Amino acid sequence: MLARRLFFTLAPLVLGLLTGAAIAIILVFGPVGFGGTRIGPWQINTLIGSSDADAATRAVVARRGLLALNQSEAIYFSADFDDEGQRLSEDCTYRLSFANPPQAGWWSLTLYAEDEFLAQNGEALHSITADDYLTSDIGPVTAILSTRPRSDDALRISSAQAGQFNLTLRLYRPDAAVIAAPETANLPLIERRSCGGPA
Amino acid sequence: MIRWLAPLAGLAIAALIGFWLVLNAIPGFIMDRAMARIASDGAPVNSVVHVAPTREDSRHVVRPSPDILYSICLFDVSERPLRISIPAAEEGLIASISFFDANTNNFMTLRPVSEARNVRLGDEIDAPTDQGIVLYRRILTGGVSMEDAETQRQAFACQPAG
Repeated sequence: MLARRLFFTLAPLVLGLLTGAAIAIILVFGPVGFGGTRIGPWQINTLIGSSDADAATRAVVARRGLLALNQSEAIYFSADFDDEGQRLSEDCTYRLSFANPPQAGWWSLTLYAEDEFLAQNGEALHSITADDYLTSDIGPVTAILSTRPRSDDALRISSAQAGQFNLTLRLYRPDAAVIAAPETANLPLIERRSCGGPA
Repeated sequence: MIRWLAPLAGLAIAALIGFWLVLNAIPGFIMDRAMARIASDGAPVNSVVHVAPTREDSRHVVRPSPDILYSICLFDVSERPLRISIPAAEEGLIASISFFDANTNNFMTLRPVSEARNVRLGDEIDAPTDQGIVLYRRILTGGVSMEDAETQRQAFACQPAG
């Protein structure tokens, strides 16, 4: 009788603890973003790198952006989807276009594969940077995300072996106005061009 | 019905506690694993390792930047403070030295200034936890050669304070 009573007392507590723990693990290790503010396909959480970040943000950042800087040094925009809300995938070709450069001392835009690391495709075309912008002609800068080399001389990031990938735009020494209002940042469009066929 | 209220309330409260405990433990767990991975590659504690330029097979920390040179100092100030040498600023140099505690918090970031200097972690700079990581980042802008960037970052050092 005592054992039965003990069981019915402890069972809900153990089940509850396990359920809560499982939800936390799914929340952090599942396909979640950084939270925060959404600007088109881009997402920014200004609490990244801050000791003011809530527990959920800190846990997600630890998994997806360990050792991130606080916003006085860098701010991070992250995109898992294109402009139409479709998941970024190596099965499709995309065009990135900057109307104006991001407002920062320097910036880079990097493609990360599904496993959160650089795509292992042997091409060493993982990013474009402020330097690419400076060396291009005056005007909008475009870059192509594709799995295969192209016949034209367009700036290209390789998405080969990337699966469902992520784009991370880092603004180093960002302008104070952008820190105060991230939605005013000059962010590139992510336009899906084609899917399934040759890139 | 009423006899189920107490178990259900217990289950809900226990779920909240389990959720909160695990959520707060995850950053420390991930940081611990990252530090162990770095140490297992021969990075001694309280000493700098100048990491090779990031390539696609770099697998220690998620989302490494291919446009940055990293140098890492795993620190342990439980016995004595750590002296950290900060390189001087140079033309075109965008670099930072960031301090992370064992729970992933970025508790301090320094930039190179006109003159090289030393700071002491563990007394001059308070460390929230005894262990953690000091990370030097040097952005590889187009105006500097890899050789020059390599030479510049050799000035970043950490060692136990005498």
